[in-house]
Amino acid sequence: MKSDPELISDETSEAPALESAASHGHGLRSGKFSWLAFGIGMVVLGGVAALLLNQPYYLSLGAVGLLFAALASAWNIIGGYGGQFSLAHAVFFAVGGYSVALTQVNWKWAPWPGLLLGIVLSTILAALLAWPLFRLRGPFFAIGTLALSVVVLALVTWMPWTGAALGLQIPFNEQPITSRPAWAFIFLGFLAVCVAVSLVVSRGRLGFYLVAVRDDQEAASAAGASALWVKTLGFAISAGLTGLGGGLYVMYLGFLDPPTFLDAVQIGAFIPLCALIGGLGTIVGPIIGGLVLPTLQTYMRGAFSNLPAGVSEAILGLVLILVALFFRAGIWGWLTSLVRRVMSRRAKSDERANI
Amino acid sequence: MGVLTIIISGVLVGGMYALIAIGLNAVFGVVRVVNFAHGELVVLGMYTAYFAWTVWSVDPYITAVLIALPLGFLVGLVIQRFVVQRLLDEPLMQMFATFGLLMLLQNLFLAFTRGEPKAVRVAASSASLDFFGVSVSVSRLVVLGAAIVVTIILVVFLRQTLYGAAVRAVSQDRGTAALMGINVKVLYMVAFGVSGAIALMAGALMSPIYTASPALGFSFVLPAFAVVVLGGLGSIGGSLIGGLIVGVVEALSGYFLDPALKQAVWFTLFLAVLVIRPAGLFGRAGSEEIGQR
Amino acid sequence: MNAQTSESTQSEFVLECHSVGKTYGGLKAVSDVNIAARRGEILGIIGPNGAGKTTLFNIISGHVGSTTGTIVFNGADVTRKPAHTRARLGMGRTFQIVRPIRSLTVLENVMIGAFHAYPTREAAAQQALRVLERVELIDRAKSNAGDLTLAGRKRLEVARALAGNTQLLLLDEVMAGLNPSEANLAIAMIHRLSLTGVSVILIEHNLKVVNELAQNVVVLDHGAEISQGSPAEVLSDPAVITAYLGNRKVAK
Repeated sequence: MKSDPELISDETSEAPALESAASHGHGLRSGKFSWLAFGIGMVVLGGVAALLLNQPYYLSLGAVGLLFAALASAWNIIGGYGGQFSLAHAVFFAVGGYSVALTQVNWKWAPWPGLLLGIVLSTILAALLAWPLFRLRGPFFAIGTLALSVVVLALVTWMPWTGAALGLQIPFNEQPITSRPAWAFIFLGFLAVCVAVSLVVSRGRLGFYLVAVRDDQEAASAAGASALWVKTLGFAISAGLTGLGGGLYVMYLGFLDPPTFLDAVQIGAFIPLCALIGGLGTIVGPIIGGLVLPTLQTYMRGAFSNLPAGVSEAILGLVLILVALFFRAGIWGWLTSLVRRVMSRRAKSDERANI
Repeated sequence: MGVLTIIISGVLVGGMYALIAIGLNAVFGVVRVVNFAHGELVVLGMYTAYFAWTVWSVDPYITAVLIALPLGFLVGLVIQRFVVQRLLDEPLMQMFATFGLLMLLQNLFLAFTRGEPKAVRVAASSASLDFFGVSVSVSRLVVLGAAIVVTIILVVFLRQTLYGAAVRAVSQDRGTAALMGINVKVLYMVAFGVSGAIALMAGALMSPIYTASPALGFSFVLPAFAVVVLGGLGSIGGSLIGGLIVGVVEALSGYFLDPALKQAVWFTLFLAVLVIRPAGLFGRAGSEEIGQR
Repeated sequence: MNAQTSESTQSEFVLECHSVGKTYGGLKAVSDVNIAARRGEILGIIGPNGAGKTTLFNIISGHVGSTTGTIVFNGADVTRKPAHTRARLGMGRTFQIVRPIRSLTVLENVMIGAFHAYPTREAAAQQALRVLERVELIDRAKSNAGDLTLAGRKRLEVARALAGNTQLLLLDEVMAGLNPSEANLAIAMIHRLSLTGVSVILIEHNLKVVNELAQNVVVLDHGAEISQGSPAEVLSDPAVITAYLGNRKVAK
């Protein structure tokens, strides 16, 4: 990645403060602008969801989009800022899902402590796995995480206490929230949590260190950043949020079957794909990608229903190749560079006018 | 069933993993790019053999040499020229792109075959030899033989020829090699071509054994990665031995534990090797730290 | 602008290398090198190409593990400590080939170096601004790191290395590739930094630079130290003249 639009745009938003800091010795602003934008964005998304209350089809599309926007934001912490291509997030998604489903089915827990358990377990699991996995760099890390998710899928379909291949079914009368519209707002809340955590991380020391380790591990260590510690922390935070998402998704579906949670392509690769298409290493990018991609996929499946199965997924694969080749900054990166180009052109014509 | 039978069947499966992994390693070790779609190329070889067999009644073993090798070389060349070459300095994007290629090919197979399994059944499919009282499948023996032959050819080629010296120079330091007058671009295209050729040939040779289906490629590529990591990055001989190890471990764990656990067992082995010796059993130390700069 | 405050138990030396060596396979890249850098001094390391200067630097900074010997920094044995720990203890380094974090701005790059001593964003930014002022890069604070000239990027490296309350600055050929006027500015900058109490070890090719800046010089050849002393002593040492200057024109 050549550019990091979020950190740069952050910086541009604070340009006036910086100038005064340079000349008067004041500090930076504490990023009120980003939090304001965050608040406005969430209110707008909530408003759109409210407008769709009478359109159950679009509302459920939107709910899934919000879920994936949140998952992509969570993945982006380690994958986008940290540059670690994790294909293991399906595992953390499943850990969250199983935590809710197993405690509810076997021990009659309410789902809420199950959610908390899912967050804790996926965070701990990620921290433990970080030690062997981050001995691997670049593509080896990706392979290690891919292998992990395949093995976990094999294990849960083999073990009887996880419900094996059949998975788990939560009885309807034990599902606390069955109203579909409510779920759009719950997933919006989940998105707000993921984005808020991303904001805190990306603006603080950890975010800077993640970017430094991504771009140049040796230079980062010379500057005092422990690559292993930084990646472990990013991985664990990202995994914890993903675990929360898995728990919520089980509550939403009312059942858990292993491939829905652990498929290496449909979950493991799809989440990074959302982040990529929206714009890696930015706050807004994964939100856009998460909202757009699942919706597009559902649309294509409908539109190509008379074509053989696989066509829409093949198109998705082609899109992925093309984005990697020609559109690396993603939708958000493209938009911001467009705005910047227009601004600089305007600035130039202003200069000419002044002359 | 004695342990000898299990070990022999493990060695035979290992020969197949080795053959797939050697093709993967040709790219991994030279271009230093992870090709997630490598398993799909193997499946493409299987479909090629199926097509030649049903349409022209060509024996899959003839297809392997006369059709799969040149076609595979061409496919590899195209992947390198139009996808990977543009992403040499973008390790993250390389992974996205080859993963996209995996999705594209897998789903094109699904769309074209409508998910119907395609099986090539020739005399070799059911033929077997008696080997110390153990019956050995001829078609699997051919795959193992091909893995050994390809290993010998590549090792001799890399050691003895100027091209081999160039490959070693490029895999160590692309920039310096380019300054020394090596045409890195051509060399990478050849490496991808060789990788594709071996993959499609492997697929054609495996077509009498396995029934081709779209999802098969994905199930090949992970053991192949494990083999490459076990054997060592860029070590062709290591891939052969690594393949046999993974095959035998898989067979033994399938017999003594549970067939469903065999993947978990080799994954544990794979992680253990990575933690203890990240460069693999036969790789040069430090070679695992690639791709991030 | 005091980078170091007085601590009670400080030895005379900020850095000591005791018979440090590194072998790759059978090849001795560095063998039995003893160096002691006094607090506040500028120590030059010179030697022909391939003499092992950068390997020695990597050993000191912790980016390469040594095969033999011990490294003592501020009185504490850091031989087994990783690079990031040494950085946190107050060791800053630059790289021969500059390595800015290209997706960040100049200011943000320097903040990376400051964060371990100034954990919050605001504090790190303020420290980074102070350091940028010291290396005279303050007017480029908002630029992308990749957009700087070579001289600018070299200053950025120095700034990042300085930002974490650094007591020892390791400079790997910071003059290489600069034109004479840029080099003179850099010499003045290093001199100024040294006056604020920062100890400096610099690898240099340009003997004029070493002559002007360094109080003491170590000469390496084939991985071994062949001479040590003041610039005048070292440059008149016959061993140095044959090993280094005999087949090489002296830059004057």
